[in-house]
Amino acid sequence: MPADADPRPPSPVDVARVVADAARSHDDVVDLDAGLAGEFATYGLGDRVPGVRVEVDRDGRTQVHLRLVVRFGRPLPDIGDEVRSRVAAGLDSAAEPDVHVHVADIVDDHAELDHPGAP
Amino acid sequence: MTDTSTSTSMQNQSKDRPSTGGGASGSLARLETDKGVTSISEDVVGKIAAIAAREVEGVESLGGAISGALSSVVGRIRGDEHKTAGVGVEVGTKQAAVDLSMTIRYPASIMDVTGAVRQNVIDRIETMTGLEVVEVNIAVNDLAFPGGDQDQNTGRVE
Repeated sequence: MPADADPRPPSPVDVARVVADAARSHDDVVDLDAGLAGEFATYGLGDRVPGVRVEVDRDGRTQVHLRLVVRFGRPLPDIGDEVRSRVAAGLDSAAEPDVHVHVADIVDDHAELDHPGAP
Repeated sequence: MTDTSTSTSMQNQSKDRPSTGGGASGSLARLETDKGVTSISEDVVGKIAAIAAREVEGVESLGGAISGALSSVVGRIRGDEHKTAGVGVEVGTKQAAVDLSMTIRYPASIMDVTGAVRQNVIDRIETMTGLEVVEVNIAVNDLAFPGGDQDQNTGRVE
């Protein structure tokens, strides 16, 4: 692994905060979801980022897991891809992470949804 | 009762239900990319089905009868009210099957309404999740009348 001479790699919470901001910046992301008991989060010194987990696997590769609450309407795989690239852009680290997006819930804005069977 | 399990995308019986990978309970739709996985929870597919069904004119409500009673109890326990009452989904990695029970508003044609519901549920799930919908079973278990007293006891004595 080309683990460059990084003076001090960012801590998981730092990474998670960036990831959460990047995900929230997407219009179709309503919120992040911390799971039923609120257990799905990244924990660090005096801080906790719900809905994001940052792990480093055995190969030293960063694995980012996200649980999203998404707005009803657009194709979820597209939203997943867009969130993934926003997160990757936000992290811009050399060792680009795998970003796993889980759509945990969906909300209906109760707006006009009257276009059954869009193209 | 009135199970309109006849038309369009229906194969006799549920012979090709989606092939749920191996991982039993955590069944969800997965889309792998080289930069990570996108997965969609089963609840989300159920909610999409519920919203899609309600979008169709002539559908009074979802749920009702026994399945409705059961799922509303489950819904209350889980705290999501009747959001997905009357909706059952089975989700594999690439396919989904949907069971719906519903009340239809009276003079509407049951066949037309259920046909439109089936089509809209398939369209919505397929465009929003990328899953192939292999079947949509619809049980119509009540009619709602414009007068609105369909839930009242119509016995002769008070």
